[in-house]
Amino acid sequence: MSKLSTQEQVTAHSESSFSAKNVGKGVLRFEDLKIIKGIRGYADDIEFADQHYAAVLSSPYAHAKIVRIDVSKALQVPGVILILTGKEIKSLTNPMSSRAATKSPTSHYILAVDKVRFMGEPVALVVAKSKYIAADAVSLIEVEYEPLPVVSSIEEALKKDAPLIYPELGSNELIFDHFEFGDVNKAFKEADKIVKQRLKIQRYGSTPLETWNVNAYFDKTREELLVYATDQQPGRTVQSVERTIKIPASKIRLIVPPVGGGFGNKLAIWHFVALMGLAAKLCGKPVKWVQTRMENLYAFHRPRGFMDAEFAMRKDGKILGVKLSDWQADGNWPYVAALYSLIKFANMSGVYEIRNLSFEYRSVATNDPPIVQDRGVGKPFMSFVIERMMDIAADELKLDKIAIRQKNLIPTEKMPYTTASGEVYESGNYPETLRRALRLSDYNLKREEQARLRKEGRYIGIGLAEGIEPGTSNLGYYFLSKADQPDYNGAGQMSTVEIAPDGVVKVNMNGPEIGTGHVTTIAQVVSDVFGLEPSEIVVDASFDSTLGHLTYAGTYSNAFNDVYIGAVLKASEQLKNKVLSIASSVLKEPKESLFLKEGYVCKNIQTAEKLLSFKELAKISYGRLLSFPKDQEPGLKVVAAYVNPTAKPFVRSDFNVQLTHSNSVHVCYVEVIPENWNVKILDYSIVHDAGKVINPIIVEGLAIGSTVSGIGGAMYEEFVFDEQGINLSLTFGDYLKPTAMEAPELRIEMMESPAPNTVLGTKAVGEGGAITSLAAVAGAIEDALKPFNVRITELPVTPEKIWNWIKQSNEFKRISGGVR
Amino acid sequence: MYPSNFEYMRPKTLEEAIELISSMEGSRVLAGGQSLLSMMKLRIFEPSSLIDIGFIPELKHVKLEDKHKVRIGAMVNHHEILDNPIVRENLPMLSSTAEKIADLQVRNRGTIGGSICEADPAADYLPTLMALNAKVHLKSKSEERSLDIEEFIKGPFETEIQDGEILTEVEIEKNTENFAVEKYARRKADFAVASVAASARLAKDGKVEYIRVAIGATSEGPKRLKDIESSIIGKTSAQLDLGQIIQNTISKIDMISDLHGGSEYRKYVLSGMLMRMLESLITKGRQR
Repeated sequence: MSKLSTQEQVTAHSESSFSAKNVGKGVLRFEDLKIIKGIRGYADDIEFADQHYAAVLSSPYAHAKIVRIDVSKALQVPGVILILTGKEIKSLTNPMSSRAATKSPTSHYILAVDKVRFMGEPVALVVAKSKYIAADAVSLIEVEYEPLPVVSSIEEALKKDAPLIYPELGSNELIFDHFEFGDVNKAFKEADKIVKQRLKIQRYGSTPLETWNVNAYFDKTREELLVYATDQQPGRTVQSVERTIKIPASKIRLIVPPVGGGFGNKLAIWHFVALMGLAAKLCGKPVKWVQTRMENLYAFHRPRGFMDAEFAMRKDGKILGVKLSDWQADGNWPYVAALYSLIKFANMSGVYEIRNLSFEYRSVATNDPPIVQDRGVGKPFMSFVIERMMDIAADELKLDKIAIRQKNLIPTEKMPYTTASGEVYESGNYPETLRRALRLSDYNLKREEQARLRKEGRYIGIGLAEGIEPGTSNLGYYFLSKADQPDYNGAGQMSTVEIAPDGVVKVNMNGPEIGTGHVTTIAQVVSDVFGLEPSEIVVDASFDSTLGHLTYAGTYSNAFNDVYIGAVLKASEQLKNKVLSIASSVLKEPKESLFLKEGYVCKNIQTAEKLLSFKELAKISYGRLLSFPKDQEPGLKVVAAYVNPTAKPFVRSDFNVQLTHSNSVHVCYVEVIPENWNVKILDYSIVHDAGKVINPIIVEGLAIGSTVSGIGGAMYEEFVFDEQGINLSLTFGDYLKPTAMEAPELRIEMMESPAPNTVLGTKAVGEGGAITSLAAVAGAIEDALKPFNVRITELPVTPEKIWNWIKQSNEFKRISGGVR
Repeated sequence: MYPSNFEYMRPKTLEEAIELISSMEGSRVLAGGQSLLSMMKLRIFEPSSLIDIGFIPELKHVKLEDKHKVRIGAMVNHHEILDNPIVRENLPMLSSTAEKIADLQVRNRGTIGGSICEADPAADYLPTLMALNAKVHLKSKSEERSLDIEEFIKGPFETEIQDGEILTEVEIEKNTENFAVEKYARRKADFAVASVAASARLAKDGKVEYIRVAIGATSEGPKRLKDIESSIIGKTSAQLDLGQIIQNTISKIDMISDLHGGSEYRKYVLSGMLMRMLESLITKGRQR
């Protein structure tokens, strides 16, 4: 595809006859009543006849040899029907392989084989008649471990004589690669000042209310594996299960009921689908596994890591060039190793015009638990790095923090803008977003108030961050360091729209509904095509692998309102066209004179004369085959696939990781309380530009939710491990989520710069808060602590950390004269 | 997070409950379950049976006796304590403490007797009960006795309760002195990083004629700070170097040290709280 053809696509899409009536309205979510009543029909609500239950034995060690496993006592518990350990798994399944790494480990199976590599790694699986019996039996399995030295940091992992997580690779460095765009050396030579800083990110992650669920049954009569699972990427899961447990994909039926929270956390469930699928096949009974909260907290988080950033600055604040070196502790999960680094290409230069840029990254295996694509993946950390560097550069050059940003923002007239690496920012007005945020937050007044209160001895700070929120994965970035081309992509989806035999319009997006308002949003879009009310559209909120879907079907990467809406709208318009053609033949009226309204084919725009009901039309189309127009095919069901047209094939010099790019400015206003150094967010303002908004209530809700999750990352959340790799944060008493009591009121203003490359001009909306908030919060706290001369380079910023940073400072000694 | 197998029993009278407790080997009393059930799900505790005393009417009273003695049944929940007019009027310090406990769900389920017997060093009630000189009543098949709360609490998660005994009632003298109760935790619903319960009365000449100070979240459990009390009593605020007094005491205390705060940090926070709260109590008088 050509470098940039967004303008042409504007023309292509404007040919559609779509006219918005319900799109853009704040319709209340239809799905919520069932959620509140507890009758949504989640995976755990589904039970097979003769249901059996699985429980997992998890490793208490972060790194140990498995010397011996004795399951004999557990097998004697009445009701236990199957126990699997690494021994069976090794002989019955294939190991996992890396997606991005050129060399893949060959020893990582869906249950630990011979050794464990993280605390919580599944070591054995018990299937029993009840979940209590299964849990009892797990506690009777005897495992003899021989502890191995634990690799608990990136630095240790890369030492010459470091113990190897995967001995077969000969190194703990899973991937190293280096990219350069423009002339970085020249930029650094010409710079007036080089600003350098190492910035760190902790291990944290989303914790959906609903944990992972798998319910598998192998039907011998059909030789088919039927699985219900809380899976965010079920299309891929089918492929992975086929490869792992050797059941043909065509014989796997995977159904995803409504999901109780996704956040990316449920992208790694596939190996449990494989494990339960295998267990179900071996024992002949339906096997249900519901992950416990503790199991959910053991593993599958964001990786910790750090980045060395160097900004070559001109003294007036212009960025001439940037060098980034990224170190990512990917734990031991070769499957998505380096993903967090790779996805940073999507917002590597943020909202700024940076033409000379180098990026190198290392994915390092440690005894940290595995990682998963958690909300925003590497983008929150990337945004944290850039926006912190902007603040730091402003400090070092003695420039205003707003002015230095304004100096470097991509000018609106350069939109659509292609970044140095090839990412295409399709639309947006970054200077205007910033202007509006300054106004919304009363920035100047706040600065005055801050100065006034400072004189009263209060520590008030303002932080500002402007971030890019990329969405829709052009997944080939996994292959940036490999020679092959990927045989998968996230840039498209397939959905089904029909008028059922009873005349009702039904939609199946055929992707996981993860609680973010898909049902209502789809109903709004489809109702506008058919001239109906949103409440009249029946939306099936589930995925079924026997229905039309593309290989990487799933709800991930902030892509719903691009690719699923694209597919649903395409199918709707094809179906509408078919309806009008059939009606034209049946009614003997010219097709151009007909339109759809209130469940009827009508003519005459002024009077809207109702000629034929959908009900009648359905009767004709499904049943009256002899009088049916000869030039048409019976039935009113359309399956359509949509691919975002701006996805480019991958070459190292020019690639787009993501296909839509929302942006936002966050302004955070805090007070730090000297008695305990706790941080109170006094005010928080967001201007969010997510292109065209289908439902402002839902979009605002997503902005609030994602920002609070970001505040969690900035101030509260961290999975803490001791030097033996033991996870110390295994309950919600120790892993701190911000609750409603801690969440600030957010002031949110929407801006709409429609995306020219999506069907309705929509863009990513689910991750912006999680991406942009980290730097806004950290910047505000740093600003409040200015008298103490603190530079915040790591998260979460906890009161105790602040106390440790400042307690040697003169300002601290000055104010704490009274006590200590 | 599935508990191991256990029997569940729900006695209707205190007598029946005591009978069950003394006869059932390996049983535990369920007194709200806000800590016990989590421990059982983690399989830290695996009792063979639970004796649920939450349905015994004799354990649910709040009474004012002779206009000065408040008797609170062990199974009165936290919400009731913050809401009950007798408690609010006669022991405002206690109802104010209950308001700070965890969240609404916990306050509706958790009970004062359960909390006292759990003896979590960072729990909210204990410093207040120490500052109020509360007594607890214990009953077994053969004996009834009462102990001062300070005798009853032996240390973190450790009490004087014996096998076969049930804590039936908390008895507290009416106390409407000026008080201040605070806990510091990062999140509203968490256990305290540091907590202070204090009350004081000033004479007309400004001298402190009554003072009680107790703290939570130390490594030895909740503590009454008698050193501080004796340094303050009989003096006016002008005669006191409060910073020094607090420092002398705090330096001898070890606080809990965990993910939520190391001992040194907690001491820093505690010092600040004590300074501000005591200063306010002994200079300005009333603080709620």
